[in-house]
Amino acid sequence: MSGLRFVLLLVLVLSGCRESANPEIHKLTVAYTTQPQCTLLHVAQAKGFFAEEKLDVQPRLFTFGKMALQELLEDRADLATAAETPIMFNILKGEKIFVLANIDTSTTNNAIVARKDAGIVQPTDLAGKRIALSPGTTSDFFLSTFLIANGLSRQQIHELPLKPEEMQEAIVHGRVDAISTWNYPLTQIVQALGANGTTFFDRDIYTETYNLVAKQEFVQKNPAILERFLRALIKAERFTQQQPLVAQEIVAQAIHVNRELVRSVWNNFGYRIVLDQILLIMLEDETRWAMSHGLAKPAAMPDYLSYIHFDALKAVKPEAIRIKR
Amino acid sequence: MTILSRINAIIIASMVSVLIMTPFAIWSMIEFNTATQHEHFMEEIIENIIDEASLRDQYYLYREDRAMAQWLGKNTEIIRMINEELAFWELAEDRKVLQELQRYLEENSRIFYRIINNSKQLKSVGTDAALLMELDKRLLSQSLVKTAMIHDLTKQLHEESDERIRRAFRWVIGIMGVYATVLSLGVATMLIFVSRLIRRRLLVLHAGTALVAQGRLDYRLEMAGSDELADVARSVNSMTDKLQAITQALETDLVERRSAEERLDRTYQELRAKEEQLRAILDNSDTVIYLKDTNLRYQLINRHFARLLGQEHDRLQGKTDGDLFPASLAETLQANDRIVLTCGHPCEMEESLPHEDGLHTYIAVKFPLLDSHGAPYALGCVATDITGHKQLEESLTQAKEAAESASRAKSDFLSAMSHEIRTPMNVVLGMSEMLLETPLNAGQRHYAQTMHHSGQALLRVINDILDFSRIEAGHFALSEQPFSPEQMVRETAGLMRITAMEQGLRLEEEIAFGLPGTILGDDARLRQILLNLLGNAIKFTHHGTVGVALGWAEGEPDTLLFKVYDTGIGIAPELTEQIFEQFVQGDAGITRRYGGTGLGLTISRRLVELMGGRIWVESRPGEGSDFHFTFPFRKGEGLMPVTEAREWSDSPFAEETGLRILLAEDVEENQVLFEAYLAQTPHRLVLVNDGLEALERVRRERFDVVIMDVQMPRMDGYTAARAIRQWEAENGLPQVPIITLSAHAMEGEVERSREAGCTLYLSKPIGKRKLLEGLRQVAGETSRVNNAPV
Repeated sequence: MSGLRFVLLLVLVLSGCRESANPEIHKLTVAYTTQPQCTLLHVAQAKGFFAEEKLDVQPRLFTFGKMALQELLEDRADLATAAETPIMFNILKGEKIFVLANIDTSTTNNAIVARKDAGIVQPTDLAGKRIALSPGTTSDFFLSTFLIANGLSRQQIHELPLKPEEMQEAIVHGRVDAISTWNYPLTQIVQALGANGTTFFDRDIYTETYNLVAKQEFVQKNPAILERFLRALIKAERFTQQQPLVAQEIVAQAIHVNRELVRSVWNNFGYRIVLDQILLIMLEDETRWAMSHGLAKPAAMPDYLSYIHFDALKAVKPEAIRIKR
Repeated sequence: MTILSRINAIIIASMVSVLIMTPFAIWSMIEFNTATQHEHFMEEIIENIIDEASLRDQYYLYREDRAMAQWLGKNTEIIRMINEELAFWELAEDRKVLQELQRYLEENSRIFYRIINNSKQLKSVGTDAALLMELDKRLLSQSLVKTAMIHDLTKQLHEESDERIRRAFRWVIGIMGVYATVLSLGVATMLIFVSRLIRRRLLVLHAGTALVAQGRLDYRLEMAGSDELADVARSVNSMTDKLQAITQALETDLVERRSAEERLDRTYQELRAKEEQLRAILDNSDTVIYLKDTNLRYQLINRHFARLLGQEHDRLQGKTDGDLFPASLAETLQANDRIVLTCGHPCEMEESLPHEDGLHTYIAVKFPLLDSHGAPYALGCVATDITGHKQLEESLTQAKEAAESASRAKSDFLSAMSHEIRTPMNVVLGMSEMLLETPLNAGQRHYAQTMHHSGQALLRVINDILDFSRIEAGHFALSEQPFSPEQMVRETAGLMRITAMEQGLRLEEEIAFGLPGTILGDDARLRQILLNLLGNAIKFTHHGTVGVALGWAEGEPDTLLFKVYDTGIGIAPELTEQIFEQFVQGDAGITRRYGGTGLGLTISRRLVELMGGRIWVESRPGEGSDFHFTFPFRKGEGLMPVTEAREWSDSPFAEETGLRILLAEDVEENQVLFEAYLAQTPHRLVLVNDGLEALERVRRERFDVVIMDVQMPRMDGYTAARAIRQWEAENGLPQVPIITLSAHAMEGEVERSREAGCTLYLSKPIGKRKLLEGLRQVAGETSRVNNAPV
């Protein structure tokens, strides 16, 4: 009997091996952006790392993460990428999502660009000026924090909500005096304003995180696919670190921008797959900000730890999990 | 390769492997050390960061300056530590992370300062507290973010440092393992190899030596290689080779010894048989045979000797000659024995032994018996009784002496006859010659000529008889002097040419090319043979040709061939051998018709044979004859042929220069004859009767030539000649030429003449021509002594 058991066990193990060694191609729709934070997805797609993992990734590209996340929430995508700010707002709204991994961290991606001819030469000059922002995004949070760091409140400015792609036109044509935005529009707008433009960075007041998100239901149904997806991204991470120039070219071609533009902002980003404490700190900090500014209903602080899915990353890159549990 | 070499090779290979591994080991140790230092550093950093976090929390809670100062100090300390450590971190990856950590620490420090500033503003009056408090929260969050980053990076570095330690440790362990493995493998290989090799080879050695021990001496150990055991195997093989050789030699020796024993046995039997045979021979021999030891005691005596001594031969053993013979005889015999033992080789000696009828003479052959060192250990003797022989010998000696006496008498008779006949013949011929020089009528001249020719014929007969008798008596001696054979042949032919022409014959000479210029031999006798043969040829040839030819004898080295040929009457084949016998001519009719003694060819044959040649004739009756003879000569290169007197016989010297001549001659007729010979010449003759007178005259007067007869009263010619030479020598005077005259015509006279110091020897009869030629010769060459008869 023991011999028979052993044979059966062997057959099962072998069949399992065969299944895992030769999985079927899985079609996956991923909503991500043309921002630098999504470099790893562009590289993985271009280099065929997804295909290597038997994933047929259908990209749905957006100009910013809030839109991509919305695509996920409306079930038009299986996975999406977004900064912590829209994630925080959607969790506060009760969306059942999981952050699967942090794919980028940056402290210099967000800035305020102003027109000098609007009388803005230093941050305090922003008082009373028309400043465009994208609500519910990092643009919103960064502007708010930048203002208080410079002794100004939101009430001291004239806010103008705009989509990122609308901001260049608005500031170039003087419809606003300043804008709060990110790259690549940030660099493009600075270049468009030329000598008339002035840019305010403050790397001490905000750390942006960019994250891979999926609905909890999807995560629970497709753990293996998520692992394969993350494995493809980890390959892209390694490739990007080893061959940054090729990666820059890939990104430039994928989002149809000048390679020089990509190169100019390249070092502002981390391009690393991790799950670290920063995400939790930022989610909680922004939650407090949102509630104190009436952007969200006052409520108890959500347990953001439960919105983070560790298993997938743990399976493929355990050392990347730095969140203390 | 020796086992020790192989072990050494394995040890060296292991050591080399270990040496090769050593750099890796050193590298791994360095790596381990570096990782440990990093680990230590990271532990210090972590400790400091924990302290810093604690101080930060203290400050955030109560915003006390003390906590702020401590935090700032700790933060500065950490940054300084990282700055210092960066110089020692070699890996770019690690350095990058460390630099990132440093950046976050600096950023955190900056944020901390802003928090401090913000706190200070909060404490100021008139500032918007709400904004400042919100900013404080943002900054605190960012500080937490940086702290989280710092913690993450620290953890990462710490983990990497741990990993590096583990990796280095694994290297160390691995290399040590390899070390141990290589050494273990080396040792194990060495042990296994050596033990297997030795075991295998020992088994071969054991099996091989066991076989050899069982007697298989043809078995050889087969062990290749050059190690010690192979050397042992080769030594064993070498030992077995020698053992086998010795065994074979012993076997061969044994076989040979058996064979030798058998041969010895056979030899012994043969020796017994031979001893018996010898004993029988010894005992039956009528010869005295005995052996003595070196003390001269008889050890072996044959029966004949024992009988002679009148004793049983067994009893004679150990006795000496002193026991058997009278003392004087014994002493003589033993003295002879000692001579033989001393000289060490056989000696033949005459000894006497007593018989019943008196002493008998023995020829004793005594011989020493020598041992292997050549030392005599016994003396043997074989003695033959020669008493009868001795008596015979004595009678023979007497007979021989009588015969010799008779022979001497005959010779003396012949000599005397020669002298006695020649002396009157000399006078008869000289007188007839002189008579022919006087005016005569035809009848007188015919009588005188007949008388002269008859005298010459008689002289030839006498000469032939003398030659023949000398040859027969064995007294004929040949001289040897250098001469030219060609010249001799031409001169001889020249002598006969006139005679031949007188008979209407042509005389030819044929001399071959390449003959030796000078040879050694008796040219006078050769000339005599040729003259005899040519004389015969002319005599027996009535018309046609006679000739003499000289060439090489075919197939005989250094031998001349003379041929005398004619176209005469020839010789019947059955007579070609007989004609060389004495007193034989072709037939009786020939003797009657041609005359002659029949001794010419006999003498020629004897002369040719005396000179080592042979003579024969080839003849066709009615056509002619060819006489051949050979002459083996000795080469005479470098010698000058003696110039014959005939060469200058026609010189006018004698006619132009008158000589003062002293003639010592006791016979008056001869004095008259010489006076007659010289009467018509410019020479002046002084006569004395003997040698003494001649000596006295020579001492007193000066003569150009002295002529002396040999036989003279008071002082003979030779004595006088010696006396003259002595007187000349004593007075330092030049030698006067002395011519001796003798009718002996015997061999030995020439030598005697030369010894006496004479210049020339002339044999009688002496004709006028002969005398004048002799005078010419000595007067022309006074210093030269030529005693050849002319």
